[in-house]
Amino acid sequence: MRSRITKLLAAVAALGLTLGLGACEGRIPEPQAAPADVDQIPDLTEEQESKIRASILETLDQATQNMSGDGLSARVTGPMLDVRNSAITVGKATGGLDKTNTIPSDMMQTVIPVDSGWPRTVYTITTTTEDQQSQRLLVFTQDSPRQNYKLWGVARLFAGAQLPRFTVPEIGTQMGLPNDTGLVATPQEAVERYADVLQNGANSEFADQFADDSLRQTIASVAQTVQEGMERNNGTQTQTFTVVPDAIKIMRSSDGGDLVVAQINSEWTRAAGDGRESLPASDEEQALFGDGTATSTMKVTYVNIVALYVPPEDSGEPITAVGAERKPIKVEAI
Amino acid sequence: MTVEEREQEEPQVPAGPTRHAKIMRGVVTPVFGLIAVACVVLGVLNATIWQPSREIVATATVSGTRYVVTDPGVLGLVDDRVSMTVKSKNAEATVCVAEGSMKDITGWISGNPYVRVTGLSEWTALSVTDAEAQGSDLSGEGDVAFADSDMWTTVSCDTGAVTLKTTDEDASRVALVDLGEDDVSATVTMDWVRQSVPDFAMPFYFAGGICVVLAVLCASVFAMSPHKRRKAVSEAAEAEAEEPTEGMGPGNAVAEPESRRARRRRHGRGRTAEQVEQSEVEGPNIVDPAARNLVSDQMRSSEQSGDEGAGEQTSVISPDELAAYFARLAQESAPETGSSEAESSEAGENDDAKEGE
Repeated sequence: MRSRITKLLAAVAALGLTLGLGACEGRIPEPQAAPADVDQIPDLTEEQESKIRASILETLDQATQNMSGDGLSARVTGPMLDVRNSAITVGKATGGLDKTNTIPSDMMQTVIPVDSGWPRTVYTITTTTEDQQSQRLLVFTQDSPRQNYKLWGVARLFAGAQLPRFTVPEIGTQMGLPNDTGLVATPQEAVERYADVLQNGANSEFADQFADDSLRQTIASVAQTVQEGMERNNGTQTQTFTVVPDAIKIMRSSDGGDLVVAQINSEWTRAAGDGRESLPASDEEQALFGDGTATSTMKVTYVNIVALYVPPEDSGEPITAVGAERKPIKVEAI
Repeated sequence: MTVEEREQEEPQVPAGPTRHAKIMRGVVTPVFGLIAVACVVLGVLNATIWQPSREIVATATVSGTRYVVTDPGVLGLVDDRVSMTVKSKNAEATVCVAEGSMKDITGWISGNPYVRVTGLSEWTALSVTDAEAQGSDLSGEGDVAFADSDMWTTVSCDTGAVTLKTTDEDASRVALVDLGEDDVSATVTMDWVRQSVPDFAMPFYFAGGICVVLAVLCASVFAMSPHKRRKAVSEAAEAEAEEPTEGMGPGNAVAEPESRRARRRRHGRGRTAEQVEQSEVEGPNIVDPAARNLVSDQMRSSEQSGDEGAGEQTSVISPDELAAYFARLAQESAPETGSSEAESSEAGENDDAKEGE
């Protein structure tokens, strides 16, 4: 009897062990650790950038079609919002948006950051426009994770401007800081000095630190022309350039320099002498001034978006403005 | 021993199988056979009804949260391709699942409590744990809806329940679930279809194969009485080893020591000077001064002077030698299995071999 029980137990044990061999799914996998450089992956893929750009251009097109700036703020911010609103106002008066506001939909290059925090900046360089205008440098910014990328600024690249090289979007680029060192000047300093150069021209103490560029030339020559006109009737004209605080976006190029895009506002005050009226100096100013009553003094506020390449300290190169946008946003008689 | 003596001795060998053969064929072979059958049966079972399931579906229930985040690597835990389904208890709520990078998702949920999906606790259950995202809540004016964020590589939203199919190859992507409102309960299901299922059958087949081979060997070679096996082997070795030396001069360094060694083995331990001489004269002694190989001469002389290790190291052990060695080992380790007749017949054989030379 006892041996039967033992046999039975042995049989049960054997059966249990055998069944234990079966119905096995293998070892439960453990999650593999994330790659060590997971924080170094670019913030966006090229497809995402493309989608974002398409969405932004759609918003701009919509505003252009409606000739209204409503809804622009969903995808446009910073100086670009002022520029575009002004362009729409001018466009309403002149029957269509000026050609300089065109933004091509195809891109040549995009510079995507790898930074974890916010705000984040993305640069995209477009192709030339259909009518062979120069390429545009688009600056997108995402201020918070709960917001989307918005177009912060557009600079039209100067003819023949040499942009620095950036690492490919698959690797990503480091965003720079306004106080980056190891450069001929910190980005913040470079912008402040450039504002001084724009204001004082060749008389600026920083004039020799900057390569010549077409924005400087244009501002100087227009100011010269207006100056001459004003002098004929004992008028005066002054233009002051002010760096807008915190309106600066920086990306580090692969050669160690920084490509800086910053907003510099300028106020152009023209006082006509001899009891004359001071009038708008261009079609754009005229459109913005509209039916305003001219007085002896006119103050025009311009938004300047400048793109400066600040080379590394040991390169021996000057700071170069590679592109800019300059639009009047407010014309007032005072 | 003469031929007559040997003939007289032969009838003394038992006509039936020896005890050794009986054990080998009657006990060891069936044991190996049974193990082989068991292995094959287990292998077939593992390949069929016990085969690991190709589809793995794991579920977890979360409650009291708005956000659920998978840990890096969880999406691709079982297979690169995964289908993630989230079903809210509130059938009216808009549920979204997005896939993005960890840093983007950390930014989105900053300052909010969330539930982490850390992996599989068992094959049908996801392990979850509560967590609190660092930082402050970054939501404010001008925020976009979850589904409209630029940061997600893929996103899908629906009412009540939603499924996201995605691929995670390098553990760089994680999934974020937005249940649409705070403090709700939901079930999260992840469904993988394994491309490669662990193969538990093959080891059994392999072991079964080995057992079959062992069973066959036990029934044949190992059941043979050791001296019989050894004789067959040593005769073959002699025929093989002597042949190449015929046509070769003293210049050949490899063949000669081998033939000598084969003979030495047969005679057991120790070697007399006479035997060495014998083997020397055996090969055709062609003296060709032009074909004289000094190196081999040197080796030969060192071998003669008793340095056997040098010859051993440079030569290759032939399978026949190995078999002969094993046979002797088996005999030595189990002396009690050999009967007195076997002993005497072995002695006779040794004598025979000597005579043959």
